[in-house]
Amino acid sequence: MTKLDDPRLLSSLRAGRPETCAELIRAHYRQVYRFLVHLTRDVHQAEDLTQETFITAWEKIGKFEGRATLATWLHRIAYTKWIDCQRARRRSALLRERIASPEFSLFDPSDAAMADDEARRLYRELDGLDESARTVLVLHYLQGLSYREMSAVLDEPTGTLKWRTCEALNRLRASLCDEVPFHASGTKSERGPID
Amino acid sequence: MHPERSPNADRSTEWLEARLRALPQPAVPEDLESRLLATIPADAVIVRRRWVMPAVWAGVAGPLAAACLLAVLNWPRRDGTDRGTRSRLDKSVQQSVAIARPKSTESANAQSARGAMPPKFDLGDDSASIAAWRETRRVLEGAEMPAFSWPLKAAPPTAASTSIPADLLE
Repeated sequence: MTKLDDPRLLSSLRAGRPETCAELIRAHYRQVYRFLVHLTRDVHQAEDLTQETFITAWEKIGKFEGRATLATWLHRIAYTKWIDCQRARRRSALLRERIASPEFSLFDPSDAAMADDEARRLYRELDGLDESARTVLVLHYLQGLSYREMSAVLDEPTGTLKWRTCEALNRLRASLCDEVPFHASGTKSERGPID
Repeated sequence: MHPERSPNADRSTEWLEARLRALPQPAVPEDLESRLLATIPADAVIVRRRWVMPAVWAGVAGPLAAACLLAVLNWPRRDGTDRGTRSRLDKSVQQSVAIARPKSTESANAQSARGAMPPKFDLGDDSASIAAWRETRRVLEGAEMPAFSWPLKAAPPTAASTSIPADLLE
């Protein structure tokens, strides 16, 4: 999905064509899901939030002004959904209960699909960063958003996000430099596997 | 076991950025797409949410605005404001004629003035009232102005001061 396609897609969406909605889903759902997996580190929760993201998108498509791209707009909705979910969980003990249950499936970077040791190590160190630093790195490097698009998603100034990204990158680099190699510390994460 | 020195120690920020961009992404569940497609609302739902409310607003606001416009346009002729204004105008014109003519010639000119005054026109006819006003102006301009007479008699000027005796200054 390119940005050039957005106006055409948007006008068709506003016309209320279900096939265009399906096109929007096919174009963006993977990116939204992956973003939410990185944020939540829980594949089930990421799936739920992805569904909620698109349901909200259908409800608010009439208010979308087209100033940002549809991808950025969907990232914004997904990020808001995650923030809302976090707030709800902080108010309850649901998270602890869910973690204790065997159904809780964290995103595991040591999955077989990630055969690269370096990639696993990077993911592990990325998970070790605080939420704020991880979010900007995921958005910029893994999701490929520009600082301007990140600004629309996180509702923060571009300059602040540049500084935060640089800071997070330096911290990640420092942690990689300080850590022991992956093969020396074990071959498998202690977290649960992906279902 | 002593921790080993990481082989990443000499790697640059550019290398790290490149590695982050090249990180393999988490796998997407196969059934997620179908579940998301099931969330798409019916055609009419999106259309209704987007167009029905503005259409309702347009349907209500349009006739209301038209009614207000018609009321404003027809207001002066319906409530008599226009009639009152014209009556006041006629009365003020007649007063002006009475003031402009001296009393001695009032009775003589009254007839001619009345004769010059146009007849009462239909108040709804703007061109007739304008013609009447012009006729009145013409009569007023043609009438002779009365000679002005000062109401007080001229009195000899009174001396305000007398000469000061020379010895008073000494």
